[in-house]
Amino acid sequence: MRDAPAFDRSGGPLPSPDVSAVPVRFARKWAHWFTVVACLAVFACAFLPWATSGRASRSSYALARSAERLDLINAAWQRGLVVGWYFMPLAVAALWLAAVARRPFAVAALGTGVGALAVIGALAVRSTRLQPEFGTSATIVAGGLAVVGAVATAWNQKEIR
Amino acid sequence: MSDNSSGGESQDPHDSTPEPPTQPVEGVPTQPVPPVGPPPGSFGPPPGSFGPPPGSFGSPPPPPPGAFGAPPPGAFGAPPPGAFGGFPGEPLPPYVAAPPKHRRTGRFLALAVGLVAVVAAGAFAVTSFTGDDGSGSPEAAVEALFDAIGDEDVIGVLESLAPGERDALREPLEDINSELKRLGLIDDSVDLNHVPGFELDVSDLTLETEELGDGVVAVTITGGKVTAKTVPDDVPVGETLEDFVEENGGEVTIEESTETQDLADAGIELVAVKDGGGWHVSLFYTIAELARKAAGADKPNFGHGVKPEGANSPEDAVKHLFDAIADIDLEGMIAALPPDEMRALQDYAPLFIDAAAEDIAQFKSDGWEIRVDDLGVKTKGSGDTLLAQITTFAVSGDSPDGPFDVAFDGDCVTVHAPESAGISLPESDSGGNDELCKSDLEEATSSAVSDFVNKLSADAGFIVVKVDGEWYVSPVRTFLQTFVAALEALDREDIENFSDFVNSMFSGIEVDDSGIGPIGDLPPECEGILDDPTNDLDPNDPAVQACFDAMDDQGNGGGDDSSTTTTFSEDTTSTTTAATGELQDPVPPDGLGESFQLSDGRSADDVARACYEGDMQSCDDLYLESDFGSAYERYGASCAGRLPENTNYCTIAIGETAPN
Repeated sequence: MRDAPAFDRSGGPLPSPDVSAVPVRFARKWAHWFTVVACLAVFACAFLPWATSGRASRSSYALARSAERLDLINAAWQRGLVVGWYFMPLAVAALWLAAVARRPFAVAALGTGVGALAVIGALAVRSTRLQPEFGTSATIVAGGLAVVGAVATAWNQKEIR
Repeated sequence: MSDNSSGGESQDPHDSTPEPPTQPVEGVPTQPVPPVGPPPGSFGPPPGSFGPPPGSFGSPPPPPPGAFGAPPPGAFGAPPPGAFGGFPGEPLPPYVAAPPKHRRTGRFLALAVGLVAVVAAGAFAVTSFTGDDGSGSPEAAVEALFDAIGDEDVIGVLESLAPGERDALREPLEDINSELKRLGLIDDSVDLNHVPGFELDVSDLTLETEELGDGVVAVTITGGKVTAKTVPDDVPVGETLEDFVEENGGEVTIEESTETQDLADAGIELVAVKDGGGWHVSLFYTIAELARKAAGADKPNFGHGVKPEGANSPEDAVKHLFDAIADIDLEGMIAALPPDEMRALQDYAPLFIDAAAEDIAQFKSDGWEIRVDDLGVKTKGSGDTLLAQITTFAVSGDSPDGPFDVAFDGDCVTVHAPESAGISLPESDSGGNDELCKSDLEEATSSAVSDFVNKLSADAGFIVVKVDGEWYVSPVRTFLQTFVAALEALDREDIENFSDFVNSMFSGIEVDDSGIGPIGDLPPECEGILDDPTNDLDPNDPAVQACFDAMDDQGNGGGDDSSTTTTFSEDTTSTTTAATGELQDPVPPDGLGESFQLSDGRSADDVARACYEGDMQSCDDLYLESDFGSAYERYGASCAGRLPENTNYCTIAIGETAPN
C-alpha cells in the first residue's frame, strides 16, 4: 500500500511526508512532561542514600540537617544551596501544577532551577570528604535530564512564537 | 487543539491531550468534524475508503500562488479535515474519541494532586527550617548515641551531643585527626565518617530515667549488650607509630578479638539535656553528675547557677577572665565561660563555690593580692570563633613578703619579687633572674626546641566565641587548640627523635611478652620515675637526680650486681647483660663538621673530645645541644661510638665516666 502513488484533488502526486519531523514533533509534544518526570525523579533521588558515615547512610535531607547541626554550613552559597534544597519539593509541586495548567515557560524555569540545584548539590556533596552513595549519582543524572527537558521546553515555545 | 498564535504561555501547543470539540469561532481552526476511520463498532476501513480520496488526508494541498511558506488558512497546527495521521495509501487507524468528561476529571485530579503536593511541600520546607534539633525524649537521645556508636558513625555521635559541646569538639577533633595522620601516628583511612579497625554492636538496650531538673534527666542503662570486635587488618596504626613501637621492642600485631559485655553490670549513667528543642546527651552534665554523686552533694537548682557574663569584644572577654583569675574570683571565672558549652559547670558551681570561697578568703588574708595592670590581646581569624593571643602583660601585687611585679613586653619577661614569694625565672645569660628573653631561650635550648616553642606560640592562645551576641573564652576549645598547635609544631622527625629518647630511657628495662613490663633491677630510687611516662625527667628534680646517681653507681659497677642492670642491646626482650660487655671502642671525633659553641661556652669539638676520652656528661651535652640529625648529635648520642646511636643519654647508660 505504501508504494501506491498518492494523488491530490487534481490528480497530481502528493508530496512525501517529512519523516525527519517525527522526533521533533515527539520532542515538542513531550518535552515539558519529560521535564516534569525528571524533576519528580530528582525529588525521589533526594531520599536515596547520599553519603555514609561509618555504617549509617544519610539521605540528602538528613545530610543537610547534620551539616547544619555540626555548623558545617558557613559560606553563603552553601547556605543558599541548603535553603534551595529544602524548597525543592515545593518547586517540583509547582512545576507539576504549571504542567497541568499548560504553562510551558513556568515548567522550563522551574525545571531548570530544580535540575541545576540537584546537580550542584550532589556535586558539592561528592566534593567533600564524605563517602558518597549512589543517590548523588542518580540525582546528577536526574537533574541533568531535568535541565535538558526544561531547555527543550523553552526552546519549543520560542520556536512556536 | 487550541490556537497558539495569540502568543503568551496561556496554553501548550504540544499538549498531547486533544481538546474536546468546540463550537467554531471565526478565525479559529476547529477540530475535524467528520470522524476519521471506521465508524464505532466497525473493524477496519469502510469499503471504498482505501487509497487517498482526493483532499481527504496526507499532506495539505499545495499553497496557492503567492502564498508559499505560509500555511493555508485555518490549517496551522490542525490537520486538514479527515487527514489525521497515516501515510498515503495506508488504512486509517481506528478513531477512538476520548470522552471529554473523563479528560476534565483527569485534569481536575491532576490539579488537585498538584495543590496537595504544594501544601505538603510547603509544610516540609517550613518544618525543615524550624524542626527540632535532637531526639524526642531523653531515652531516644541515649539510644541515638548508642546507635551511632554501633554504626561507627562519628557524625551521628557528635549530633547526639548537646549543641554547645559538639560545637566545641567537632573542629578540634578534625584538626587532631589531620595532624595525627600527618605525623604518621594513625593512617590515612581514619576520618570523621570512618573509624576502621573496631566494630561495636549495641543491642537490647533498656533504660531508666530520673529527672534531675527542668530539661535535665539522668538516663541509667539497666540492660543491654555491647559486643566489641577488633579487625586487626583495619586498625589504623600509622607508619611512625609502628616504627616507634617496633624500635622499643614491641610489635604491632593486633589479635582479632571479640568481647561481649552486659551493660547492666556496667552501671552507666548518662545525663540528657533539652537543648535546641530536642534532647541530647551531655558529656559535661554527665561528668558533673558523676562528681556530684561521688561527693554526696545535693542536686543543684538547675537553671539558677552562675549567670554567664559575656564581653562586648573578644579582647574584653580575655581581659575579664584574667581580671577574675587575678582576683581569684571563682564565680567571675565561671561566668566568663560560654553558656552553651559550660552550662553544666555554671549549673553545678553553687555546689562547690562556697566551699572554695573560704579557701580563697584564707589565701587573701595571708597577704596575697594580684592585679592585672595591663593586658595586650590580639585576635586572629574571623566569624564567631577567634584565636586571642596575649602580646604583652603587666601584673603586680602583694605577697606576704612584699610587693612583686611581672611584665612581658612581647620579647622579655621581667620579674621583680621577693625571693620568698617563689616567683623567679631561670638564670639567664644576662645574669640575674629578673629577666628572661626569647633570645635567652633560643640560646639555652636546641634549635628544635626553640622552633617548637616559636611555632607553638604562633598558634596557641585563647579561643573566644560569640554566644548570643556576647564574647566568652571557651576552655574546651582553648585546651584542644593548644593540643592541635603542639601537634602542628611537630614533624615526623621529632616523633622519631622522641622515639630514640624513649628507647634510650628504657634501654635497661625488661620487656616481657605482654609489652613493657616489670622493670628489671632498676635501683629503687628510680621506681615511679623511669616507669612513669608522664615524668619529664627534669634533671633539677632531686628525685630524678637521685635516680640518675643510682643508675650511675650501678653502671660503674657500684651496685650489688654489676651484671644485671643495663642492657645495651637493641634486643630489649633479652633480660640481663653485663653493662660493660657490649661497649665498643670509642671513635675519635674526626670529621664531625663545623664546630659550634655550646651554651656553657665550650666548643663542640672540645666537648666531643671530652666525650671520646670518657666524660659521659660531655656526650650528653653534645647530644642535647647539637642540631637534630647532625654528626655531632649522633656522636654524642652514641657515647663516641661506644653504644648504638639511639642510646642518647650516656650518663644513664654508662655512668659519669666510660671505662677504659
